[in-house]
Amino acid sequence: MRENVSHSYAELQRISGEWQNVQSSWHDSTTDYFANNFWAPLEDELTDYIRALENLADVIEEVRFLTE
Amino acid sequence: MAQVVADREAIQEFRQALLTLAARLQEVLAAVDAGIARSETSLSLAEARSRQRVYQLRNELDYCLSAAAYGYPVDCSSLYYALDQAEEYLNWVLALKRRFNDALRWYDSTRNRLEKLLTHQLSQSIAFLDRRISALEAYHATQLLETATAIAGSGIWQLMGAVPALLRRSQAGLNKALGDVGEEIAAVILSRRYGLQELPFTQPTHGFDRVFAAPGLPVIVVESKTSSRGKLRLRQTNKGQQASPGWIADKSVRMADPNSTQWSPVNERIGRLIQEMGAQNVPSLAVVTDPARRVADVYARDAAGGWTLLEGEIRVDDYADEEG
Repeated sequence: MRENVSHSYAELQRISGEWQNVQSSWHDSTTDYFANNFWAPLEDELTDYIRALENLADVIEEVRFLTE
Repeated sequence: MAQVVADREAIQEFRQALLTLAARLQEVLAAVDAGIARSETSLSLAEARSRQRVYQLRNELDYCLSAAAYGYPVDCSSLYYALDQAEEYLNWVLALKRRFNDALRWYDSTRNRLEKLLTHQLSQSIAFLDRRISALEAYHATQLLETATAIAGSGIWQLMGAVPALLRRSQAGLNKALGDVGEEIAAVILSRRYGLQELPFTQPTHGFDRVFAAPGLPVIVVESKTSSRGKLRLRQTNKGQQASPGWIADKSVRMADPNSTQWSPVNERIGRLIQEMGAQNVPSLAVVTDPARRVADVYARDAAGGWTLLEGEIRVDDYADEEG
């Protein structure tokens, strides 16, 4: 379960890096539209999801002790 | 003149990164689902075993206490201790189960939101980026770039300047690029000059060029054309002329059909809205851009099925001045 948290963090960092790369070279009026309507909601939801996943992973780790 | 500097390759890479993200998240979601199922099983088994252990120890303790009451020389202290331990373990399991369920509720709510976003908005994001890439490719085609990595100038305004160069090239190979230019111009004119609001949708290959809305008009279908003579020429199809009620009705059915290549969640909503309104009640506009003269004409379909010129000779450069 921990590796899923790591993978998700890695994906968030990767896509954020790609977005910063695009932002540095895309400066027309459509950039803001895309940023506000597509990128920002995705980044927010992804961040919330990873936090919830991390919390769940902590509990699941404890559950795993039950079977060990 | 508005400035646009956009790196086509960076946008393409970001587009690919979005698709990769969606695929990898699907893998994570599936793996987490499996982990949740295993944990639920483990918790249920642990709870059942703990309850059974507590039940057994209580019986043994009762038996021991009864024996002591009858005068048998028995020591029940070890059973007291074992029962305490078993009850403590059961309480720990139950507390862990409650924490697990709380964590699961939180996770499920974020997962649902994320999945919804990936399902509904990802296709729109990709379509949006595709349109930008197409516009930039059209610009690229003019070979006005001095470097391959930086594209200087505004999307459509620079494209307009580049169109004469495009026209000198092979027409067949440039039809798509010109279509993209026309669509961009139509979108800007309709939104800025007429105050229409563009509705994001997944643009199919053989469907509507753009879809707009206005107060009281939830859907307006827009066809954009480029013509060196500024003439409106709409293609005849086996469902009627482009942007005619029959053609719109046919497209709306395809957009709402999950088996169609024109389907997407957002397209389905627009398709169903058109069906509810009735295709004959959906306004249609056509914008014809003359790239050589840098003007555009806007037509509206009238009740008789003909096309009325709403406004002609709109100078597209005027909008470049507005943008400063």
